[in-house]
Amino acid sequence: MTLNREPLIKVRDLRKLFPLRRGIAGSIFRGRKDYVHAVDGVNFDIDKDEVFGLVGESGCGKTTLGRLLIRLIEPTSGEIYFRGVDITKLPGGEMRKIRPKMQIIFQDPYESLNPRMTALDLIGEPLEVNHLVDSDVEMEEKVADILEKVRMTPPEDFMFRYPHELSGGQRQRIAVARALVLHPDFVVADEPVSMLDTSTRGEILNLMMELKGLTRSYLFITHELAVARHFCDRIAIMYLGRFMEMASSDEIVRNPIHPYTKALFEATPVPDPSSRKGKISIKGEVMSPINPPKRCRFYPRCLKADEICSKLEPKLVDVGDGHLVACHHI
Amino acid sequence: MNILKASNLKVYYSTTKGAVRAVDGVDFDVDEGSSVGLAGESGCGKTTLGLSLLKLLPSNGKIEGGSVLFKGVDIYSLSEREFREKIRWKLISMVFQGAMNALNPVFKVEAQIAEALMLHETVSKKEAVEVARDLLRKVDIDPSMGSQYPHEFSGGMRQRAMVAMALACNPQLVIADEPTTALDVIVQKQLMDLLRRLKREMNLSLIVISHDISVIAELCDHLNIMYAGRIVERAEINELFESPLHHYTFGLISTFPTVLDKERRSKFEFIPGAPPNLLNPPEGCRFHPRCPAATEICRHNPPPPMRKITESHFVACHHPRGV
Repeated sequence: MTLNREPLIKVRDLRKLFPLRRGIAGSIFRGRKDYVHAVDGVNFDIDKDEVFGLVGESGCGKTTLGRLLIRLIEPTSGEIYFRGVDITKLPGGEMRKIRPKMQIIFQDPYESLNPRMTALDLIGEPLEVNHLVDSDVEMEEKVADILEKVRMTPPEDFMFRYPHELSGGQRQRIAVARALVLHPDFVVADEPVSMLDTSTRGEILNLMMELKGLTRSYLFITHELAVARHFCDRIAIMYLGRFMEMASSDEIVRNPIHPYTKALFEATPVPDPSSRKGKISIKGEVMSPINPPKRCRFYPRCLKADEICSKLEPKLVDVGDGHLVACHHI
Repeated sequence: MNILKASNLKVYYSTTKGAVRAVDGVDFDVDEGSSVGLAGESGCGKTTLGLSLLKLLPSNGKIEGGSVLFKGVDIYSLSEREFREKIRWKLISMVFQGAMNALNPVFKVEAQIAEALMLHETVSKKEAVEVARDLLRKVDIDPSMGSQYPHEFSGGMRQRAMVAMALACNPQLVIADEPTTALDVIVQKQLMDLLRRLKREMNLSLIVISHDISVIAELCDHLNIMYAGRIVERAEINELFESPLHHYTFGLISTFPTVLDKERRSKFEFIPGAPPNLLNPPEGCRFHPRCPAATEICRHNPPPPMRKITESHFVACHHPRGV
């Protein structure tokens, strides 16, 4: 893959533990604190111009990981390199200089846009905060330009509208414009289409693809394997804070190896009644992420599990061509 | 043999801006023992149609016309009391949308299921709780967990508890409104397997309402496609997916990416525009502003009625695909 090129994002041993709140009696009588292991030791790189997909069920830590990468929350331990610089150690002032280069698109355009701000204010705010415009006229020009790029034309029609005057798809286009107006190098897209009707999702996804010229790389967070399969270059499958498998999206579809990845494929419904599927090879429900024991995270639900899985946490190993799997029974 | 037959059903909501015609002349039937899907974008009237079959509409919703026959009996001609005693939950029940919020957080799960039973049958509380535990077992929940509160249940368990509640009075027809929305794929798959099994074991007929046609493709034998308050296409499920006739149906199917594709798509399909406002739907065919095949006739002529194309395939379109 990348031999001498520095990846855009490099993540090493990243962990984020959230302490659990306990009552007074709990703090007195129990010395040990409980933690939710949201992200528990992940390693990966994102190259320039790459779309990296993070796929997992709710509660697996994918949103936490996305927020860590742009330092919206502080990690418990580990390093995040952005163009070779470890941003976890940067003082506030230095970090502020990097922030415009890292942006995020949130899941819910009904919640993420301030209802009291017009499209112009919403998109202009990041320009203003980062001192990228000198006058109101210049700001309007820049906002009009990006509105055209996200197909809200003519821009004058949309610039002075409030979020409630826009459809869900249009709101999400504002959110995309807001993230891309700064020409960032890296954008975290946290389930950007999951709140939209499937009939309009394609429009937003195509737009994000076309606007790759304004950014470099995406971290695309989704619970839908089918969307990730087509949108992403590479996919990581996450389960209870750890990566179970990571490969190019073509490879992961053609040759899924981890039992959890296979179960995800088996469970994903297909819009074709002639390919109805049988029972899936997985048991039980997701276990609690609080103080997980040292063993394979998937052990309690895996049909292949044996003794070694109950004792040793498998490492992510390369099985060839950058296809990484964390399973004792490959 | 029909278990349910709705004819020319109209349900309007009165608002300060006028009447919202959420269901506007729908013919809909369910064969006994079959599983019928109802699909469309949000706001097309599919939940309203489901609620109207149980007469559970919000206070500003009104059934303006049409009839619903259940095994030949016109259920709208019954008095409110008869409807409650004989139809609702006894013959037709519903799994409501949003399992996360549909249960009351301050009552034990088994008490809520028992309540559904006690409202419709003459049983003691003790007997009702017994039945509730049996129902929990039926939906793969350990009956001893019935004495817990909804927040102690996972999302999948809450949804299964809602299914148990719908089965409380041994109904013949169950309406499942977005039964898997907001569930993770694996839990969704488990719930679909459960619904299929219960349908077989209890000899149920099923109406599945969903915006996700891949869920319907897995669960149903027939599919109705709804757009802007009307049904625009109805067919046997395989036929519908193989040769969709309405341009809206074709659009809906092709916007669904599938994991089975061996090659990566460089573009995603979408239907341009947004569904119309049902306060004032467009003239002519309601889909014409978004339709790639629309002509003058679609813009001005009254919406086309349903036409029979094959024995099990009906469409309401001036220019059906490939016909």
